[in-house]
Amino acid sequence: MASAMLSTSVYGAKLNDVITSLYHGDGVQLVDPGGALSHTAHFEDSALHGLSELAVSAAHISYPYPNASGGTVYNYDPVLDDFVESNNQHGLLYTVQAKTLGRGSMAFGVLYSQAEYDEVDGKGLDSITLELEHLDVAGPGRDVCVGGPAPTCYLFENDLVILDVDLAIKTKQLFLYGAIGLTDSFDLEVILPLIENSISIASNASVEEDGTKAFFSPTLHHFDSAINGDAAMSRASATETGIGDLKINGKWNFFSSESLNLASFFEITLPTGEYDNFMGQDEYTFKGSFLGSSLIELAGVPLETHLNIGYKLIDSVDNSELSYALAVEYAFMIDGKSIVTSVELLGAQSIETENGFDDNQMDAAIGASWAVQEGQSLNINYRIPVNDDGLRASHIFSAGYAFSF
Amino acid sequence: MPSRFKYLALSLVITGACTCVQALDIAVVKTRSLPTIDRLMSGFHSVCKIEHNVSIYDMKGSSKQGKKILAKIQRAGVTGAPQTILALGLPAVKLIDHSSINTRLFFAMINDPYGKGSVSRNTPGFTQNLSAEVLLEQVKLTLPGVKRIAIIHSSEVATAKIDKFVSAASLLSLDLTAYFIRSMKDLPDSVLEVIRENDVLLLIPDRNVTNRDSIEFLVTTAITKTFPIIGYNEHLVKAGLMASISPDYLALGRIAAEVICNDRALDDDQYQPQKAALSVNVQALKIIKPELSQQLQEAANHVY
Repeated sequence: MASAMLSTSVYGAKLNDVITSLYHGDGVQLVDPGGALSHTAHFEDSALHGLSELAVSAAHISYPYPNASGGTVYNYDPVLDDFVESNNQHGLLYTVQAKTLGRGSMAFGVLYSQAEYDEVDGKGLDSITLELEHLDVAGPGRDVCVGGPAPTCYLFENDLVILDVDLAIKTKQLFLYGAIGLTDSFDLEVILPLIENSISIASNASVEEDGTKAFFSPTLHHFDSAINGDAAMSRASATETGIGDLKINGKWNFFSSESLNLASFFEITLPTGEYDNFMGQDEYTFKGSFLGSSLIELAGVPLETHLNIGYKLIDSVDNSELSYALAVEYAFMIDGKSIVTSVELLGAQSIETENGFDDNQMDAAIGASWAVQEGQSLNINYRIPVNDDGLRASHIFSAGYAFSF
Repeated sequence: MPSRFKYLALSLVITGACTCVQALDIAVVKTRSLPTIDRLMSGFHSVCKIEHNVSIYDMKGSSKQGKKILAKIQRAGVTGAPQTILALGLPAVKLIDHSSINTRLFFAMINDPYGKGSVSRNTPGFTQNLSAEVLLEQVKLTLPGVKRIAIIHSSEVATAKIDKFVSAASLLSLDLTAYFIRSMKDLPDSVLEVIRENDVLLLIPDRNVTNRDSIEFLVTTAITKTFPIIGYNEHLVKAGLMASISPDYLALGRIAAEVICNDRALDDDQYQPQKAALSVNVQALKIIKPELSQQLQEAANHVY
């Protein structure tokens, strides 16, 4: 086994070039043993390309929704025989409420969110192991065997380069959003994220020799960048800032009563973010959702519940996503200021083939909204994954300010 | 005939001219649509003549919507602004009362309009509470032979109001006892004391006595102790109380229209409804006062 001898740093221009830029961007090149055993000791970088493709899924950012807070609501309490004042305020961040703002009402907000994608399928991104295979020197269907007659010879093409990779993908997002009630039952919303993404990767390579090495004494594969080839250690990092994908939403509240609201919701995502920098998708996406919001009382505690069921079409029916959100809100007062707390369960099920499902991601979020003044609120939210599928951030923190009039 | 025709034409012109002069632009601002508010408006429309231009605005329970209504009324300017506004529910009244709109304002659908500085003292209107006399008379009619009546109240209810009940009871030869509670914690003991010492408990709006947390206790206690508790609106009857006595909103709407549209003078700035409506819960009646069940069902305005 060869060990790390030297480290190097490589800086890629685009974020999705960073991973593949390790080891000079062409896989791992070891020292050519020379002489009769001279060959291209090259280990192919397809595993690094695979990792890079995975990193692109960091572009699937979680958009908040302008669940506009603000404004006082007067509900009639038949027991008190009086109107009871409460704030039209929401602690939700990712679930959409079915109520609309009302004609002429407007809401604006900013939300800062940060996350570090640190897990893939439940495994830490700081301890990924990749295997790079030797270039097929002899050509398809043929093996080169040295050190004796087959089968007591060394099949050096079966050697592997093992990469111990430490990958970090961080994102900071500032969402600017606005909503306007065009009619009493129809809202138009626009959300634009400003994003700073950074990626850094460090890889320590080692050679794992094939079991047939026992039949051959000299070491064919080792690192020595002083002679030729790559160093065992390679690092790369980059940070990019830009706008993300612009989202335009329409919400139509088609049923409204004191205790139940139903709405349909339509989202268009414009590919304004740079795909290569994990800031957006490279195609238009469309999503339609059904929204329901209901006031219930559980053990005497009044709760507002929300249900979202959506279908997102990415580029075809075969590449689409089912999503759902369940949320419960509870409001209380402290020093005359209303605080609304929420718990959200958020799921997305990607559909990659006509026959089946793939990649089921489920998250939970808790949040709170504090009505600092009428029509103004401060929000905080903390989101964690519930299951392991895909590239995930262990923690997503968000904080924002919203106002409406 | 020609001279008769002249007189007829002249009288038509005069009548028409008078009508034009008396026609009013009236704005009705509702806090929210409720069955009781709708009943009041039915009464109002039945009296307010067609020549009056009545515009109805609904806040839909939202302060934002209220602000829009305010802006709309203000935008109407000097010529288009209403001469009178009838605001229904405290939020609607406060909206207009605290605005710069300088229009004659009447309130309605409020329990205690001048309490806790809610409505300006010089704003007249129609309260939601029946006067003590009317209410106690109705209690006597509902439960013939009743003598000892109890009221439970906290500091939410003004002492003057309790005093009025005591005076009215005295005039009606009833023995009324007011039980004071400091908080809802005192309610169970107080109710048991009332049951021991009285014939009926009359609820008046007081959020320390009747609220979402206590209503179940009150209903259960009334059933298990077969003791009559009379509420102040039909929702309490739906919740299980035997009976409730509330204002007749249709009649109240008619009175409001008489004052606003027909210039009838108000004796008091705070008009209290003089006509009551009785609601009964048949199941509770059969348990608590089976002997009165049939009679009260026939007398009731609303039966549940």
